[in-house]
Amino acid sequence: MIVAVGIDAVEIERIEQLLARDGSRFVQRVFTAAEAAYCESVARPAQSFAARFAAKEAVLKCLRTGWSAGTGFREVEVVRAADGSVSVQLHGEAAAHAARLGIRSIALSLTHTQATAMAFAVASG
Amino acid sequence: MTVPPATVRCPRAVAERIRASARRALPHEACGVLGGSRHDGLLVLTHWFELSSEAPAADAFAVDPVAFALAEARLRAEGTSWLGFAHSHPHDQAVPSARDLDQLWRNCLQVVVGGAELRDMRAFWLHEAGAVALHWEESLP
Repeated sequence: MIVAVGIDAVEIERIEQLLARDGSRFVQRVFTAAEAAYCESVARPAQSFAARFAAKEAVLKCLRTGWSAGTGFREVEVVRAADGSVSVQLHGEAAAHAARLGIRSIALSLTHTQATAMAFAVASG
Repeated sequence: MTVPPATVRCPRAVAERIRASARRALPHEACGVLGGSRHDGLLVLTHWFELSSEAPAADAFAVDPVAFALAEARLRAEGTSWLGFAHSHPHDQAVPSARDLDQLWRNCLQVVVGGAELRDMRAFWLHEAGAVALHWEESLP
């Protein structure tokens, strides 16, 4: 049963600007080591970072909470399988909050144009 | 946004909120993000979100990149676009300093608040070669 859906879009240029100015600080605070390693391995890292940032925001909408409410960016992790599919792994307070909402899994889809990265998340119970 | 607009239109209420942020931050510099819409050569400001500065000194500001990303997401959620930044010069004029020219983001709106009682507010567009002053309009309400 679908419990909640969330969608978000991020301008890739904005992430490019952040990476250019505060790259390591931004990456370390928002992304897990595995997410960062993947994004930094592709031709246009900002595109992948932007998609994952959008995914974290989309998942947050499913959880109906805010980052300031105790959920950390790194507690919402986008995991990429060998076949290229992506899924969401929750940690810490994000996982606990999802359990309280009756969410057992979150399906995720990412896409992007040259300018915008988008994520759509569907939380199921 | 790479082509500078000619004019920035700011509702008086938004401008006063920016000035109030600048005064609250004294003796430090205030900073925050500006949102609104772009129409050919005109930027129309509708949103101001104050950010905490991470700068170690009072006469400087540094935007937390995560706070900026969240503010930009909040602007999008409210159906508007990020246009640039505003910051204050508590003890100086409302023009970009040498450090601003060196460190501020390029190709976006940069509003500076300064002058007597932090009333003066001016808009600029920074290029690699320097700052272009934009026409600043405060509109009612």
